[in-house]
Amino acid sequence: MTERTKKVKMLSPVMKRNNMIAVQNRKTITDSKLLCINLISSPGAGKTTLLERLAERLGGRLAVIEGDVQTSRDANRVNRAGSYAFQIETGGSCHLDAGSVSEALQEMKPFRDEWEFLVIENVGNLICPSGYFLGEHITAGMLSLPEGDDKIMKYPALFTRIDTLLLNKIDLEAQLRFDLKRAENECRSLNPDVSIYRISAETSQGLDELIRYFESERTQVYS
Amino acid sequence: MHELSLAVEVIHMAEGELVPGFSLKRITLSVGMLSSVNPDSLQFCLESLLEQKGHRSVQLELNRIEALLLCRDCGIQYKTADVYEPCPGCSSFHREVLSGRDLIIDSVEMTGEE
Repeated sequence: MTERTKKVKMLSPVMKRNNMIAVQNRKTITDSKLLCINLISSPGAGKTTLLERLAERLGGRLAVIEGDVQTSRDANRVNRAGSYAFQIETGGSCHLDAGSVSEALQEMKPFRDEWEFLVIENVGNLICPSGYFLGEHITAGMLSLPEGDDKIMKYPALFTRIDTLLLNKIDLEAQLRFDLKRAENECRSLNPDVSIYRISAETSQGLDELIRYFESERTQVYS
Repeated sequence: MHELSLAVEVIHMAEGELVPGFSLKRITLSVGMLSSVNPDSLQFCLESLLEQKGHRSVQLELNRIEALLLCRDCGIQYKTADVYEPCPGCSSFHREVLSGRDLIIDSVEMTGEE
């Protein structure tokens, strides 16, 4: 018997297992012809308010998975506004992972025929959710004007991987010193193909255009 | 604060490579600059979990990896630790991130008798 040392070269991303589950999620979502959006922002940026407005417009066409540390308040808000919502309580975890979304998708079955869009509202946080692919078609990052126009480069992990930037609370532009051009340019400086929407969930400004974008993305995915 | 879940996964993956009769000796990780992983916090979580799971004196090597960017104006690729820096070739900010977003287990070493 001699003491031996073995070295195994792995070069494996730690997200490998998460990403494999995310690919299964994508299949579940695609089988029902849903367009899935992973919505990420800091707490209070207006994610749930946006979903309420979308629910009022899309009604039965929209299904929502709500990720929160605690309470089903957000799911109730979306329900009251007219769309189906499923609440995940993470019990302390600062992000959703593909596994928790997979469990939610199983519990939501059977999917309703009328559903066209599935929005996953992630836990309010600009850091932790950014590494976890959930199986979505569109990763949307939301930044609200009161947070400041310098936040894009401060949280590059999120803003360099998003497909869509939503600049929310645009109705407050006159009251705030938020340089929209600066935020948009900084986002494009690391993410040249990002699409950007200026919206106000409060006043519904820009929401028709945002819905048209989701509709055209869905048509592209399933045509 | 997602480093704890990452540490759980790292140890799960490392244990998956263990040959019967061998014990973990060293885990080498690459932490991308844009991975939103705090290396100190990951190291702390790994040390605590390894001890709890009975893995004694495992060496951890965490290497910070710079981001690799592609300049869309002049076409050069360059590594940087600071995304506020423009392209060193043409000073453009019109760039694409090629790598540096991942946390990767490079290798696992183990010792045992055979």
